[in-house]
Amino acid sequence: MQHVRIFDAVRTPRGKGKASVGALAEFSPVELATVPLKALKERSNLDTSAVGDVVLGCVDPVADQGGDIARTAALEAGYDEAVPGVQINRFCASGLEACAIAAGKVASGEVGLAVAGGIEMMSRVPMLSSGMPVLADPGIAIPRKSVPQGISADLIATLRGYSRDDVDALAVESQRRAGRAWEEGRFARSIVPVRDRNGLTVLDRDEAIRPGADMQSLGALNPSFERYAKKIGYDAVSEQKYPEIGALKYVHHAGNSSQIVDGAAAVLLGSETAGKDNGLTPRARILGLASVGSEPTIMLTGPKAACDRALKQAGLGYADIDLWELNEAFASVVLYFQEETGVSPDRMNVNGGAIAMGHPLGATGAMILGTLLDELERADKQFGCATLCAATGQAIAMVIERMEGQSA
Amino acid sequence: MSKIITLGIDGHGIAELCWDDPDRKVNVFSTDATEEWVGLVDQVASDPSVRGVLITSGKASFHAGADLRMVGGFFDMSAEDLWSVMAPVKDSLYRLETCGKPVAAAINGHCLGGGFEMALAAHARFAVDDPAIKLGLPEAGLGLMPGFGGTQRLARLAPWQRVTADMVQGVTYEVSEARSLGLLTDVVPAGALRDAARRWLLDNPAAEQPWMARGYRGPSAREIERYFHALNAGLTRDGVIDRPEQRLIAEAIYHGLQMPIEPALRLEVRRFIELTRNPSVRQALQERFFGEAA
Repeated sequence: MQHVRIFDAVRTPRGKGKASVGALAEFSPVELATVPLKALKERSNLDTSAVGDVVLGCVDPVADQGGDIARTAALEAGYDEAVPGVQINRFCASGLEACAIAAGKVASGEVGLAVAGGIEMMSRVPMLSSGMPVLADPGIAIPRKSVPQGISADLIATLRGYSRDDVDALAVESQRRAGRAWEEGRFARSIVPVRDRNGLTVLDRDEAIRPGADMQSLGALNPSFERYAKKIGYDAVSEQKYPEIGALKYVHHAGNSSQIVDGAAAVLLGSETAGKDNGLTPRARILGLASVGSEPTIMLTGPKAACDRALKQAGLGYADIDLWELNEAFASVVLYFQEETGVSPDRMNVNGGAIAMGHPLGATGAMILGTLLDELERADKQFGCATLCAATGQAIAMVIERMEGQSA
Repeated sequence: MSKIITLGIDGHGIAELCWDDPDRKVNVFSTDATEEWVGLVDQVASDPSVRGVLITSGKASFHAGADLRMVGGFFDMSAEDLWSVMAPVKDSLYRLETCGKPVAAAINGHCLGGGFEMALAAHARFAVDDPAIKLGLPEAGLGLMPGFGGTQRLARLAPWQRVTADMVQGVTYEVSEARSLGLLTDVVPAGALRDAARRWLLDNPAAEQPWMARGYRGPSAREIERYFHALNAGLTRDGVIDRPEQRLIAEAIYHGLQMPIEPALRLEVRRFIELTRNPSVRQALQERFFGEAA
């Protein structure tokens, strides 16, 4: 398999996902999705007729996020009308899955260049809007002992004995790192400010970030899932599935879980030849990628299996990877992965994550790939791995190698 | 200091904002009036002795909306500057409807455009029982669109399909029609107008807009989609390509109805500013009202 090149990666700042207060809430999902698509086109002076496909992740593709938003956004972004678009969904892994599918299209020779990324306006189309039979259909949910993700996150913490202080400390560090990254301009290469059609800036910075968060302020927050779990019985469901853990401990809350936000991201990928033909300089190449399924009730422990496979493809081990981006779906997901793999927190999410900046479901995978690429360049490192857990026990991982300064 | 709008507070804490522009035959949102309005709203909203707000007119008509000379000037302003003109009005109307005090408009005569938009930000509207009075948003008929929240509040207050069609065409209403659409709290004889509105304010100390109430649900995405499929086709058939205001009004309502009022109000202002970036709109306005070629 030829190594697919990454030529560029951009993202919008993330706006708060509560519609009454979020800066991006007035946008339509299509309009927001065009922001990174236009930026890719303009930054590379790209002849869009050379783009073979636009693949966008979106987890709740209904209403104004529906109707194949990838094609609509490509048209509205002014891409050549010959460029098709496809919207895909692998839950929280969608943004990176879109990149993986695009990479596959390049590797197979189907296309020379592809644009991949994601969009989620959680303010406009709330989570679960497109349905979730694994929780709703009695024929599935009851025998499977399905629980919502927040319960799974608390289940992981209970299973591994992560205390409230453990998860809160990770959240405080995410906020600190994200604050520092913004202060030092570490996202500058990727961020595309969102402007309205009159050119007025609507948002140019991640809106949900709280760099001043500390153990005391987080300590004051009530657990998010306890009351609900006890009221409707999810506590008993998870205990039935994992009888060895005893009573579920509720450590996750709004401050140590990924925040609900709006955002969009896009990545330009292609073959070595297509890059040369279009005057593009590769910034990285993809060495390995893998998607996996794992036990769906605990749900969020899949990233290690995905990374095992992606690393094997790349011919690398955990110690070879200089920088990691693991989506901070919940604090326990990160602690669990670090414990399982021995990856040092110093190499992981060094510029903060979704706990600080938010998790626009369908876009996050592409966002963290861009963040990883920027940081490999800034820190002058070679290998990086981006990975995300996803609903129903899925996970994805992509291993990349920086190519800055190289011609192909 | 106010010259166009006077503020009087009675012994019951009812603040009356009376529009009576000494230099004009009708009340309009001119640059000066807008500045006065924004300042007075701030004052009545923050003054703890004010328990309710009554908007009245000293003219034969209630309010004629935005001063077209001022609107003509919008075309020469940068988007930033125009935002800084529009946003304070948007914010003042939002503040008025969310300040926790009841607000009523006493509509004694024509109530159009920005004047109607101001009245829509009140919690109650009382009108004189006079078939000659016109109310509504005629902007589209002038090649313009509402920019003080009218597209959002009207579509939330009345049957939204009906009023969307009306806003897109610039249709206005007689009092009886406005009442049947649910836009008027009551219709009363001329002599009883002020008292009816005052009494309502005293009887409703905790007024809030229906769309701010807990449990309020707008139309479903499916209903909205179905309606707009047909509207889009019809407008296209009828030449909307030459009527950018119609598309922008429709767009503001389509998206605005799918979000809470706060972002929807910003969205409308952005579409309004977008309209004023259009040279053909400017030319049509100048030719129609000022007899000037662009």
